Amino acid sequence: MSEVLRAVNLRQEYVARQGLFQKPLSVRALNGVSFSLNAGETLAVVGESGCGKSTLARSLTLIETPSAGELWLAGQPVDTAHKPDAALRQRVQMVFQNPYGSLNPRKTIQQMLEEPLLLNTKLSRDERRAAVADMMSRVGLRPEFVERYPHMFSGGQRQRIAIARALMLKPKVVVLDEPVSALDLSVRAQILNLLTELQHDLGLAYVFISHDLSVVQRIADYVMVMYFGRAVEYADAQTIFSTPQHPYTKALFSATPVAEVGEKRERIHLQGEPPSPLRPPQGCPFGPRCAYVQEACRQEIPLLRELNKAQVACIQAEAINKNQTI
Amino acid sequence: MKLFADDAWRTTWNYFKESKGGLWGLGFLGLVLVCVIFADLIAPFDPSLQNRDALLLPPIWTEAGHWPYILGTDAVGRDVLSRLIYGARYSMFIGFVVVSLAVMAGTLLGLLAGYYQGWVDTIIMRLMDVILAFPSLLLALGLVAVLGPGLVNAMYAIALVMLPHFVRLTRANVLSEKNRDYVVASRIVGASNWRLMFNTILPNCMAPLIVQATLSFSNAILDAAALGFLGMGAQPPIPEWGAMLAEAREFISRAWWVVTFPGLAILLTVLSINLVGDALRDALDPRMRRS
Repeated sequence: MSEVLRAVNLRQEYVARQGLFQKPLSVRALNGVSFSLNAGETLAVVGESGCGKSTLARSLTLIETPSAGELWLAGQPVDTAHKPDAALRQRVQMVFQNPYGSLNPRKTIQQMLEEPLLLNTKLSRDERRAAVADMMSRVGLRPEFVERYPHMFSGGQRQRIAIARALMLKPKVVVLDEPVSALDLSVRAQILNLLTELQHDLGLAYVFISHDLSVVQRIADYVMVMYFGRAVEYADAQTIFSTPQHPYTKALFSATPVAEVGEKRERIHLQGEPPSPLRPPQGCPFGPRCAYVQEACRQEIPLLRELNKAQVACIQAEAINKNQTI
Repeated sequence: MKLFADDAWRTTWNYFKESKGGLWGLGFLGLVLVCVIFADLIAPFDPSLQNRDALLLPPIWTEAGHWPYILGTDAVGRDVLSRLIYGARYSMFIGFVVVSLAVMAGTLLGLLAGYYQGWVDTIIMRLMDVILAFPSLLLALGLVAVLGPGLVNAMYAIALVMLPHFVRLTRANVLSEKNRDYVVASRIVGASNWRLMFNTILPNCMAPLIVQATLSFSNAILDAAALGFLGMGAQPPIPEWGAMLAEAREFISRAWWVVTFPGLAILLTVLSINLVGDALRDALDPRMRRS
């Protein structure tokens, strides 16, 4: 399998103005995230609101160029200092969370789906038409629907259209920003099936951003848990779901409902709110909410390290693991 | 491409037909347009021709009225109907030119300000604030005084006075649309800034602009009349509707018809344009169409 996407120490900073006479503060929405992804694989990025998931999506799709770090796309480095190259940009596409906001209400499906081709290829009108019709049937919609407007479709159909648009340029990587969380439960399964099918057929790599762990468990090959702009745990899906090691991952996973009658599980309730990015806490960013916090945690920010086939950013991980097995 | 364009017009017309008000408005505007084009053929008299024997003659259906002065005569014996028919030319001309100037310049500036933000936004919006800070008539008056009195200069002045409303309206809409997902999606796909502005964002900002444009049409006619009244707009004996209204002001208690008919002409025209504007806005919006 060939590597199609690699991020090394990706950072994204924003400047927050506090008022006329105060010094502007810089907010690190993304604070050194690294991963690599092969063709045909899915990386799930999970975490609560405001942890930097969407910022990661914006950086990967080059909507915003990262402030620091390296990004490799299909084996080529992305020049983050300049305007991204159009040819490279085509390699990454995106599907948005809300299919009601991501389709232009004034354009027909045909106009929307052929826009990528119109802007990036020299295909003739008829060739574009054929390509659109082909893509429509690929995502399970009738090609006759292309002259309709988005408001004539249901949520699930709209999301299919959004997926079709993302695939028009034959990308290597598709960033899926919570693609099913706005959909009905019944439609959700259909869209997930479609995504799996397309991945299989086209050899796509997915970056699947979600906070729904049951969906992640189904679709992911690798899982990255993010907290406060950093990866706190990064492992393959099987490892992380069977033995979560970071206290935050444990808490997150314990919140997932399980469809088993009579099963009693221990819920870990997190106290407090995520820290304010304007005033980051000393040491481990999860420290203020962590049940296992020690004095050593407040000294420095823990980095990802190898531990039992996973990468964990917690200095207490061994101690916590030992505690639980006893 | 030709076929597609025809098709788009046909669908728009099919939805436009749904609106009764829009059709009435269109009908009246058609009548006005006929007056504009064929004024020389329809009007019974020369609009400036004075008849000293028939001063302030009431309309034909009153006791004192008589043929051929159907809507009566004004204080110097000019036929009111003929003046209204010729006046349609000036009033429609003023309305269309002023509104198109203001809409085009205003939309462009608002689009630039809303899309680029930063210093572009600051410069454009502060300039608009300066224009808004003056009472509109005073500013128009000042501009005409500088440019020289006359109908065309008055039209430029009124267009400039109206500009900030269009700029602000467009900018506000662009700001709210700009960060919607569909715009981001177009950007990811490779759309340039110009394409995003004019092809993606602008069509989604049109609805309030159409309404504002139709409302401004009436303001343009009335402002032109006000300038005419102050001697800075249409110069006598041009039979511009607003100017007719202004000239007839002193006879309002004795001769109701000299005031009523030009006023009615303005009212009906403005109403028709608003109705057509509403219907057009709905017909152009795919979301309002039934599937």
